Amino acid sequence: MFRRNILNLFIQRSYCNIHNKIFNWKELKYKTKVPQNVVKSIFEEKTEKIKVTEEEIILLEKLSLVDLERKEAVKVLEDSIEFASKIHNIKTDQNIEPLYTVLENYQLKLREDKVTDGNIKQDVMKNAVKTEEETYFVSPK
Amino acid sequence: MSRISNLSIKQLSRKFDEKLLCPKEHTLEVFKNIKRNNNDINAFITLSEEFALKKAEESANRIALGKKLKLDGILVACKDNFCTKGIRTTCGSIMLKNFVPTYNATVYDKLEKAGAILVGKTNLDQYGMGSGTVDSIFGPTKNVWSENLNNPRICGGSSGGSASAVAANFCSTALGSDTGGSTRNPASYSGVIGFKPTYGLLSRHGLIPLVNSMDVPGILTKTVDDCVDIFNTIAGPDDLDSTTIKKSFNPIELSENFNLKNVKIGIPKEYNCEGLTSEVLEAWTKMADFLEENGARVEEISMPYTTASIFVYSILNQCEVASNMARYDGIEYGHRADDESSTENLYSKTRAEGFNGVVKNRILAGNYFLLRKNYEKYFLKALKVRRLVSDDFKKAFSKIDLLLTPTTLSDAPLLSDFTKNNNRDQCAVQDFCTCPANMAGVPALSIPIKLSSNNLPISLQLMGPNFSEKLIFNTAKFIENRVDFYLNYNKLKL
Repeated sequence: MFRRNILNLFIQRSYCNIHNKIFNWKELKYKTKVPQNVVKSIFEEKTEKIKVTEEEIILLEKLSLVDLERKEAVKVLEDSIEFASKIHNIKTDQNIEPLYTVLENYQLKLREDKVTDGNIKQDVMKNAVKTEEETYFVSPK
Repeated sequence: MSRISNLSIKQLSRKFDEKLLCPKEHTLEVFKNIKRNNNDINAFITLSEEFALKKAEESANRIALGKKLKLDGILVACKDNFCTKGIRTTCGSIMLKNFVPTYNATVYDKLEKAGAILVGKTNLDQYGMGSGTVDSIFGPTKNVWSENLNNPRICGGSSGGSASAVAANFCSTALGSDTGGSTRNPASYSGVIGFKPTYGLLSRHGLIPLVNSMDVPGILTKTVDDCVDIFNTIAGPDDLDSTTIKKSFNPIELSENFNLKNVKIGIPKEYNCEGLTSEVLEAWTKMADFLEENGARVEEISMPYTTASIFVYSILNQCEVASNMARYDGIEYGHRADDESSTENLYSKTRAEGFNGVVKNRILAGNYFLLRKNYEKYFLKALKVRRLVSDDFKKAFSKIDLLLTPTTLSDAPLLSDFTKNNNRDQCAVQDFCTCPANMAGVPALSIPIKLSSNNLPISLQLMGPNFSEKLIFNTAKFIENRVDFYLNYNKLKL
């Protein structure tokens, strides 16, 4: 049995550690610092009811180049937006700056504007389903 | 199965040095194991046996010539969203089902250049959008700890194939990626180490992007030592990724006599949330006590924006996904639908066929949040709340050195239970403890602690300030030595 095989491996590995005593899981030495009860979120759980309009659907489909084929898909979309809307229960003051990147305090490296590769036409074309003379990508006429 | 495949990287390497084992023999042995057992758990999408044997031969030759490289003969696997030259890279999707990259992702390239041998590409949720490894077109990956593989446990995700491959001894280490917890979550359920580094220390070049501002490559191993060895090999600036930190990387050496005196450990109370099981709470409580007993100063702290992370994540993830997925049009690479009626029809049909429902919904929702009228209301709002989440970490780390929290709220759920919920609810529960670290960019590590009453792994998470990897690894190793997860398992006399 597979599980048994894997078990055996773990057991084999443990030979070198046999000197270790079993960890005592029950006993605590100190008054615990870990909260023993659920700590409720300080934010309200209010949700906005979201209805995506017919025009919005047409626009989103166009921008996304993805069709909302079925009614359920619209439901799932509205549900996603409703979930995200809970963010409005969290107050953000005027003076809070958006955090675009966690590297905001670092100077990122820019390379020199020089060609560093080339002669890789074959590589570039390799994964295209349709090409013209193995030189051009092809879109519908 | 062979005992050898269960050795640490250093132990294996020594065996190669002493000519007690040859990389070719080792590789063949492991492939025997893979072929016997991979069908049961489905860790791999693509196996690269021929390529691996060629690489093993090269390793063997270098060893014979006394020119051994650091990772010669060490077997690795890569999540199937890292580009591997000449080996197809699918993201678990129809869209990239036949995509064969012409270059290597930097992190994998560094492993290959250090002599490591690629055994294959591992399963994932499509494009990494999930937390169970259940959404791949190649089927779900099953947890190796499942009581019954006919009613399996999920292995977590989205890097579930990588975690399973390590847990099943199909390789010494596997690369995963971590956007909201995708390396740590499957590590937690699969009983292995899962490490997410500081954002910017590992190159993302060749990692097919999900959420650029949060994605980092992750490392899965069985031991902390192995994790450090791999991290040291692949970290550092990369000219091909402008978001890597410019400063050169100093390899980490673990302290011989590390002790916890003067280490201040915070217990953020908000991580005791709805859904946390009593067994995980017990492990968390005991471990905090154990660290205190060994000299650490442990205190309860508050990080009130923890619960906000999941909403920030849901917005930013979908916005960046909408932008990233715009590249798939069927023309240059990837799936191309059979519709030549117009360019627009070709694009639409290609995307309709190439993406699953989860991907499509995220694109649509992302574009909704980015509409001119919604941009400030959702996108900018999320970025502002992200600042508050990140400030929570800054404030915490001005007083304490490390945070100890659960990784996941429970042991691994049954696949049948997990798939009753939709993708969004799955992620909201699964990512609760892991996704805050991605908001702030800080390093985090999941370490298996004990087994639950179901005999499934329970893990905890250590987080530290940026660049505190050394302290995280030292502390993790301290815990690893003492709890000895594998010995603990042995005592169950299964």
